[in-house]
Amino acid sequence: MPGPRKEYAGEGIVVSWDPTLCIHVAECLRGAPRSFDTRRRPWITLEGADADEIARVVQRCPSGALAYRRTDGGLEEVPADPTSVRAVRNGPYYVRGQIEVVTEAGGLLHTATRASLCRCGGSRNKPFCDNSHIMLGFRDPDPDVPPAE
Amino acid sequence: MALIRVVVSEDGPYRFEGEFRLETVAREEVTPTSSRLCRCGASRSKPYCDGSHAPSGFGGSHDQDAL
Repeated sequence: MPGPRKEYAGEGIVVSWDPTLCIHVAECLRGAPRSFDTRRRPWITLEGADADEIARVVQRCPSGALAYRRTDGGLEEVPADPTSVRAVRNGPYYVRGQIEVVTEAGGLLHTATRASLCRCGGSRNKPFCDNSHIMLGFRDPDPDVPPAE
Repeated sequence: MALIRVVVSEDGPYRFEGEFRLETVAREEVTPTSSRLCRCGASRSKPYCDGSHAPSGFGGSHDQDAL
């Protein structure tokens, strides 16, 4: 389940991070290595960073562990429309849109613009991905091998 | 703005309420033929649910490992 979000303030932008949702896809580390660096503590430092660039990088985060809000009147994140659901090979679903995750009884579990949902059945943080698919060796059928009878 | 509601059925699939585009593991964008997507890992019709969660004894509680 989502946990409390840690906040990191920069000029014109506040980035928040939910460690329980982070599956280490590392879009942030690649996209803005000066601001996101796991060898440092805190690992997010937004000093001198351009708010628009940080916003663009945060929106690449497929798990929704990273989110932002602008404090300078800049553009807030616009949910993907139409919604897209991507089945990642040997991994989770990446969902993008204006998302509500609910129980069968209608209980609200989560709202987000980006979410990674367990597809292997093994997550200990269901319905969210926690990378258990790696340990469990979850594999989609090999596209070059015909299915067994 | 089109809302998507992801209903997490207890020991079964996800049910997507709302329109969505589906991208397969082969990176092909398709119009989904069902809103029920596998979350137990056992379906032979992935990404769609084929009922395999029942015979595989899938437990969908948040902290349960796959059987």
